[in-house]
Amino acid sequence: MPASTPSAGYQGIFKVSTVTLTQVQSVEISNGAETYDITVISGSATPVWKDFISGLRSYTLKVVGFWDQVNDAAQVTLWSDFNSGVPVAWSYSPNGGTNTFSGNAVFTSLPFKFAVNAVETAEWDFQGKQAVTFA
Amino acid sequence: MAIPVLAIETAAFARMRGDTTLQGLMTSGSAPNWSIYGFEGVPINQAFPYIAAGVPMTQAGSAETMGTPGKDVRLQISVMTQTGPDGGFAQAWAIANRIDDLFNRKALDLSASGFSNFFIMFESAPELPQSDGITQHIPITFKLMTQG
Repeated sequence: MPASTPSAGYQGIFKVSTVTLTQVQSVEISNGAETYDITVISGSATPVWKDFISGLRSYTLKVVGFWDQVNDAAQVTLWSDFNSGVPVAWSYSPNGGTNTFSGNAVFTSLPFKFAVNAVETAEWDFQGKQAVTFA
Repeated sequence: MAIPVLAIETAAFARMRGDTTLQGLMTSGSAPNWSIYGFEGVPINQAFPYIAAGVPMTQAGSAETMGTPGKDVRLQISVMTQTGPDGGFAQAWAIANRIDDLFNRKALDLSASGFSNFFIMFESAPELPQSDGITQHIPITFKLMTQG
């Protein structure tokens, strides 16, 4: 096994289905895990530690980049999916295509920001639908 | 992947030299350069007024994406005039105003060099009297964002 090395963010590749989203600056996959408290009240005068079991998993996905709904086919698809409500098949490689996170997700928000003295930006926010996988 | 300074200067100076209004303001010049000088430098004893490339500043790009490198560039264009009936800062500002007309919010076509310039905005134009007392200098700076 090779020595551990970090990956540079510019190696990232985000795709909608099989189409690369070109103007991407950052991707956040926030994986969450619920926990359930299963502590039994002991009745003892001595304090006891709480006990938990692991619960349901879920994730949210946030992609930030530059708005180009004219030339970027993936942005056209995302706009269409936002309006129709269909799940978006996505994938993200953090290391130039060697490995990939992937899943299906539904939109939670789609903010655009248009300011006169800056680049026009877009953000695509999703709630994961079932599992995110890594391969 | 490269630094787009040469591509920007080539496009910017071609735009200025090709503008008939600016040609009319450059009373010391004639075709093909109209007293507008890029990185080749200003000739010794150049008559006034003239335009010279300033000092460009290239920084990490605010439009860098995962797929494409980006660079932010400050393009500086210096307008130089000397005191006289048709000169001085009045002449310098007339030339500077035309340069602003030519560049502010008017992106450069850098496609031949493999870059895209999608953002160009006026940033500053200080009025700088020179220490010799007879020369005026207005360095006009534009902020550019590029990808490529």
